[in-house]
Amino acid sequence: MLSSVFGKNLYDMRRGLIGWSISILLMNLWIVTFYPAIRDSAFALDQYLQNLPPAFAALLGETASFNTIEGFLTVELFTFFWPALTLAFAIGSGAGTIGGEEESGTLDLLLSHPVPRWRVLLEKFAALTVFSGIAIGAGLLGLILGTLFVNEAIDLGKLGAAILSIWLLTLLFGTLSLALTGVGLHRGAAAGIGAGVAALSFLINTLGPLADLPESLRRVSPWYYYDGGVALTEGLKLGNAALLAGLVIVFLAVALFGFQRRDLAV
Amino acid sequence: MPEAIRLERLSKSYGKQRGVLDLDLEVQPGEVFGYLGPNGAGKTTTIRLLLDLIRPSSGRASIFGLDCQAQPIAVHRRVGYVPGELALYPKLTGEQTVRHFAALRGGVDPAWVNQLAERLDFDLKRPAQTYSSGNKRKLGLIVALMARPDLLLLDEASAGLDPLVQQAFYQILRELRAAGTTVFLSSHNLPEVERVCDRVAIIREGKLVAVQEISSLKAKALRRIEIVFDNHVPVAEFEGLAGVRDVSVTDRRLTFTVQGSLDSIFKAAARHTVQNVISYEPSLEEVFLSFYEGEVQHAV
Repeated sequence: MLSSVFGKNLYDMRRGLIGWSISILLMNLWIVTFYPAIRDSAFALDQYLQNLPPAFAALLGETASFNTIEGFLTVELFTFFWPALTLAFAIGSGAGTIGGEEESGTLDLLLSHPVPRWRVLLEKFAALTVFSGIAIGAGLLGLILGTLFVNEAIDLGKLGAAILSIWLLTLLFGTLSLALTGVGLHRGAAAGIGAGVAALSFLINTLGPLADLPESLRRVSPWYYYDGGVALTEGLKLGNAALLAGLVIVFLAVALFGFQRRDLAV
Repeated sequence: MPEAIRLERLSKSYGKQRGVLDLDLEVQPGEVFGYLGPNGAGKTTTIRLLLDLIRPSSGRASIFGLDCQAQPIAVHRRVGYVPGELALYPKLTGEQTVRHFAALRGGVDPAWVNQLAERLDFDLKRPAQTYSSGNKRKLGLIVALMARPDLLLLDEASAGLDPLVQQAFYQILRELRAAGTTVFLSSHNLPEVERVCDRVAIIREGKLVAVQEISSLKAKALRRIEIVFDNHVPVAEFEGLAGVRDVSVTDRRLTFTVQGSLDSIFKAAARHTVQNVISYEPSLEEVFLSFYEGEVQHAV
């Protein structure tokens, strides 16, 4: 486990990861078990949704409906709560993986060993990818257990597409925070900016149509390409997934380029 | 054979204050070289430049002929480093720390690690966060020494070690030197440098003030000495002796500073009855002053 930077990062994070995974698993399981009660009053709730001020309705998701398990999951999990949790986890980890070691001073000792900087960063990115995958996998497990419990069937292929989308969005913001420390920002600043960009771009995308923001502005938001809820009914949108993955690679390249060139802070 | 360390007009500027300027220095393989200067003089900056942790503003540094910036990994393979502000992974035990860094080096001899731990009286089993600062430094030394590097970069390495462990550390340094290891030891502690080093560079405010053999540093060093006689002694007998200055007599107490040999002053003192002699080790600042008086030396 300690024979590589990747392995050591997994080892370091094991407790935090277990905590996050269990929390997300339980949250998803718990929320899904509400579905039968909600479904039985779906008509009333849909009416209620339609009478909500448009801004609130938008926050719940474009295809908000409590009529189907997919609509329910979109509103209750995929639109906001689940990505919010996984993003918080990934932004913190992304900012901390280089930034934390630089802050505590262990980065000097680590990089005085015969390991190239780019490799340290790539291994830390790989660990981030695996962590967020495990955290999301735990959420998926909770969701599936929940649907079994309430006896609802869900298309696993489409669920897979939604999971891929949430994972890519999570990685995107995690890698953004990593990139910010890569170019020299402190851990706190990188986490703050990462979280700020995530929140602002979420609002731009969700409230954009109501505030009459131009479509082009919404297209700047990574959330525009996030299909967590939509994929449950419509399946994978390859273009959107590719775009999110492309942005992850761009941020990773920025992180590598910046980290390779800069001075390490004392 | 290329120099163990070679600095050529090496500069690093951080805006106005800190940094180093135009360092030229050569350290030969097998030397134990002292890098002496007060805190903030640029010692750590120099060492971090050698390790490519920071990049020079201008100039060049090389280790065993390898360019520190262009070939950092080849450099790191040959170097062991103990940072001045040593930080370790708090949750790893000593043993796990050793295992992690050993793996990054492609493996080390476990028998040697155990021997080092034993000689430094260090318990590898505990988590790093429970170690005292002295114990952390021991672990840092083990990590630096375990791969038997050709060059050791020690940034204030013995700070915080208790005297017995310091002796063990100096003994290990002597053995390494006998085995051909080059040691570059930064310190603000003159007696330490005098004790273990062959040559010393003195750095002050980012500039090299002098590069000296230890023996000539000692000869140059000013010492303040106090001699207590059983009677009042005439001050005139001691004024004007070779290397002696600032002579004064208060009651039966003669104080002066002397540079180099003590022979003439002791011969003069021997004409009277001496009760006690007290010698004060020069502070670093006094050593610098002795270099600054007259012209700045730069004998490489």
